[in-house]
Amino acid sequence: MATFLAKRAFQSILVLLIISLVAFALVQAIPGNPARLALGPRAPEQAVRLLEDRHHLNDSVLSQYWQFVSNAAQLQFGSSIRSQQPVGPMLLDRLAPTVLIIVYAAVISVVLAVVLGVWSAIRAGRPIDSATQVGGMFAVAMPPFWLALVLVLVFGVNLHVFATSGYESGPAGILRSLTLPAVTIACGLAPLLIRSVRSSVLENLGADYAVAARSRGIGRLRILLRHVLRNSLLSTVTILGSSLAFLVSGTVVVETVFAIPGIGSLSVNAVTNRDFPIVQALVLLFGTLTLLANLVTDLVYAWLDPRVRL
Amino acid sequence: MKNRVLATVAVVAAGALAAGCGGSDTTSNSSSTPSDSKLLVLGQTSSPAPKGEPVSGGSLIMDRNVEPQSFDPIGTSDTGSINAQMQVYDQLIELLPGSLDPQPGLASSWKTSSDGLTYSFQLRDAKFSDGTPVTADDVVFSIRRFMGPDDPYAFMVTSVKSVEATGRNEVVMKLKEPNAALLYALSLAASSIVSEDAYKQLGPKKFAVAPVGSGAFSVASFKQGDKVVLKRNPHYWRDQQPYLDEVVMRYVPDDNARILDITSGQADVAEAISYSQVQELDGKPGMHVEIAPITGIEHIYLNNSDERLSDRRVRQALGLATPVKQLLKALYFGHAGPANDVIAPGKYTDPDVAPLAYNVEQAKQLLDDAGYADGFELTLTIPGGDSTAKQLAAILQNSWEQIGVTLKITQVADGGAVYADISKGSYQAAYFGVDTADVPVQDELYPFLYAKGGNGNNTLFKTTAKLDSDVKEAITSLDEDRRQELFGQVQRAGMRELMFLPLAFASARTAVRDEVQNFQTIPSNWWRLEQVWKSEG
Repeated sequence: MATFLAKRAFQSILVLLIISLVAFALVQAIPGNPARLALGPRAPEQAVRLLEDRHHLNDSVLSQYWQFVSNAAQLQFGSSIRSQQPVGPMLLDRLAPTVLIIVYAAVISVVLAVVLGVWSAIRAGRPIDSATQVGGMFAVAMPPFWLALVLVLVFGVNLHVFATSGYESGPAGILRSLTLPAVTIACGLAPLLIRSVRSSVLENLGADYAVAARSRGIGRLRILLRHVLRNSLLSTVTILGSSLAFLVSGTVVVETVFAIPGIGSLSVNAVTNRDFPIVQALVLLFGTLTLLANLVTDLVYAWLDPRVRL
Repeated sequence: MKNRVLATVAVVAAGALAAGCGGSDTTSNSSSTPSDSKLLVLGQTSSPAPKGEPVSGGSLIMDRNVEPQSFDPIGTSDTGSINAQMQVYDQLIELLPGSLDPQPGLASSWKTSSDGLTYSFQLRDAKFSDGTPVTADDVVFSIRRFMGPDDPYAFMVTSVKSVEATGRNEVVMKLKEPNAALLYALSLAASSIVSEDAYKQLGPKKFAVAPVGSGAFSVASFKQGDKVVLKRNPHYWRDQQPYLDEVVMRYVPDDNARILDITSGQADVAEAISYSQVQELDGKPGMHVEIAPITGIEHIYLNNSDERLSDRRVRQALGLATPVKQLLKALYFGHAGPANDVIAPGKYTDPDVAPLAYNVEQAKQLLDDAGYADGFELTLTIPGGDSTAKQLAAILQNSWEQIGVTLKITQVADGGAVYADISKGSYQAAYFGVDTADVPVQDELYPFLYAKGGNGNNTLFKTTAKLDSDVKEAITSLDEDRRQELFGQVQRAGMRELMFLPLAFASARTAVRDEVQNFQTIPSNWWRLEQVWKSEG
C-alpha cells in the first residue's frame, strides 16, 4: 500500500509537470494580448507596457515558465492581470460552489443508477427497462445549456420552487440554488451509469456464483443485494471516477447559465480575458483534481474487490 | 479531457464575449414603431416618465452581463467596472440624463480663462462614504493618478500641464494647449475622486475591493463571479438622494438567464437584452424594455493597407453593396439606427449626413474603374461562436457576391483574437462587435483615426493633411460653432473615405420592471442610480 501510494505520488508529479507545460504552451499560443484587452483598444502603448511588465509578460518564455512552475510548487499563483487580486485565494473562494455541484450531481447520478439500473436489469425487456433506456437517451441527447434553461423556466419561473439563477449558501440556499445545476449535469452522467449498472447486474445475475447461490436456496433479493450489486458496482465506480473530467467541463456551461460563482464560470472569463495566471492555475487545479479522483477510484476499487491488490 | 474543457471554454467564452460586446449593440423601441432607416437620437430614450413622487427605501436588483474587475478607477476600461464605479464615486463634472453637455458634479462651478488654458473649479461641500470631507487635495491626488502612466484614458488629459489645490475648496488646472473636451474627460470614471487617505491606508489591492468615494452608494460587499452589493451613502451631497437603500448588481452572463430572472421577478433590471428578444419581452406585463441610443457603433474594419482596400473606390463599392437596411432588420430587429459616421455618434454628429446607400450598379462601376471588373476574393475575420457575426457575414457574402467579391469567412477564437489580428494588421476585413466611445463628443475617437501623432495610435488609415488639421483644430477650438462645422466636415470625409464600413449606431437595451421609476441609460452607457426609486406595490 505504501509503495503503491509513493509510486502514484511520483507519477502524479510527473503528470502535473506535463500538464503545466501544456497549459503554459496553450496560453502562449492563444492570440490576444491580455494587457491590451484589459486596458482597451485606445489605451496608450505605455500603459499597456507597464501592465505587461508588472506581470512579467515581456520576459523570455523560458523564464516565464520557470517562474510559473517554481511559484506553483510553493502554491503561489501570482495575481490576476484584470483585477490585480491574488489568484490562489480567488480559486479557493470559488471552489466551494463547483465542488458542491459536482458532488450533488454525482450523488443524484449514483442513486438513480443504482435504483433504475437494478430495476431495469431485473425487469429486463419490460416497460420500465425500455422507459429508462429511452429516457436516458433523451437526457443525454439534450444540450446542457438548453436543458438548464428549460428547467429554470419550469421550476424557477413557473413553479417558483428553485432560484432562477445565482448562488446562495447554507443548506436551504444550496438546495434552492444548486439543485437545477446539479440535475442538469446529472442528466448527462446518470444514463451512462444506469446502463453500466444494468448490464453488470444482468451479467452477474446469470453468472455461475449467482446460479449456484440460487440453487442453494438463497433468496433472490439477498443474492442481488449482497453479491450481485457489489460486483456490479465495480465497473460503475470506474466510470464515475473517469467522469470527473466530464463533470468539471459540465460546470463550465452550467455555472455560466445559472450564474454560479464557481471555478467553471471563472475559467470562461479567464480565457476570454486572457488572464494567464488564472488560466494556468485553473488547469493545474483541474489536473490535480482528476489525478486525485483516479487515485480515489483505485482505492475504492480495491475496497470493493479484494482481489485487486494495490 | 483538457481539450474538451478548453474547447467548451472557448465556445462559451466566445458567447460571453459576444454578449459582453453586445452590452451595447442595438435596438429601437417597440412602443414606437421600429423603423429601419430612422436615425436614433442620442439622449432620447424610450423610458416611460416616472410615476408618482420619489419614495425612499428598497433594494434594486440588477442582472448584469458583465461584472466589475476592480473598483480602483485607474487602470480599468471595461463596462463592468465603469458602470459600478460610477455609482460609488463622484467626478468634478457629471453627465446626466437628458443632456449631452457637462453638468456640475463635485465641482459646483468652474471658470475658464479666455485662452482656454486655465480652469479653476470650486468644490462643493461633500463627504466621502466614511464621513470625511472631500478636499481639494483629494481631487489633486485623484486627477494626478488619472494623468499618470497607468490609466488607459490618460490620453484624454495629455494637454493638462498641472493640477494644483489653490484653497481648501479650489482646484486649478493649467493646460499646455486648449482641450475642448476637458470637462468631458473630467466626467469619466477614470477621473473619479477617491479619498487619498483611504487609498494610502488600504493600499491599491484592498482599495480595489473596498473603495472609499463620495458617490451615492458605497460598496457593502463585492464577490467576483457573483455580485456586488452597494448600500446607500448617507453622506451623499444631493438632498434626499439616493432614494434606494441598496443596489445589488448580480453577474448573470447568460442572455437567457437574465431574461428568465426578470420574468420571474428575481431581478428588477436586466441589462443587455439581445435584439431578438426585445419585442417579446417589452410586451410582457409588469415590465418594459428601455431602448437608449449610446455612443457605440457596429462596423466592419477594412484593412486600408491591403492593396485592393487601399483604393477608396473599392471601399466605396463595398459600402454601396452593403444592404444596411436589411442588416438593421435581420440583426437588430429595427431597434438600431443606421450609422452615418464611421465612428460612434456624439453631440456633433450631423443628422443630415446620409448613411450608406445601397446601389449595386454604382458599386460595380466603381470596382470597374478601380480595375477590379472581375471582382476579387476577400477574407472576413469574425469571432467564433457569435451568431450575430455569423449572420452578418452570411448576408455580406451574399450581397458582395453580386459585385463579384467572393467573401471567405474566417472564424477565430473570440473577439479578443479578432482584435489581436486587427492590431497586428494581419486581416483584410474584420468584425468583432460594438465599438464604444466613453464621452458623447467626437474628441475621443476622431484623433485615433485622423490625427498624425498626437494622442492617437492611428494605424488603421492613412490620413490626409486636411483631415489631420481639421481634427486638430476641432479638438482645441473653444468656439462651439467652429467645432460643429469642423466635425461635420470630418464626418462627411469619413463617409466618403469609408476606412470602416459603418452599419448601425448602437442602443442599450435594458429590461426594467414597472415598479422601478426614473431608470435611464445615458449615452455614455451608464446610469445615474441615485435618481432611481421603486414605487410601492
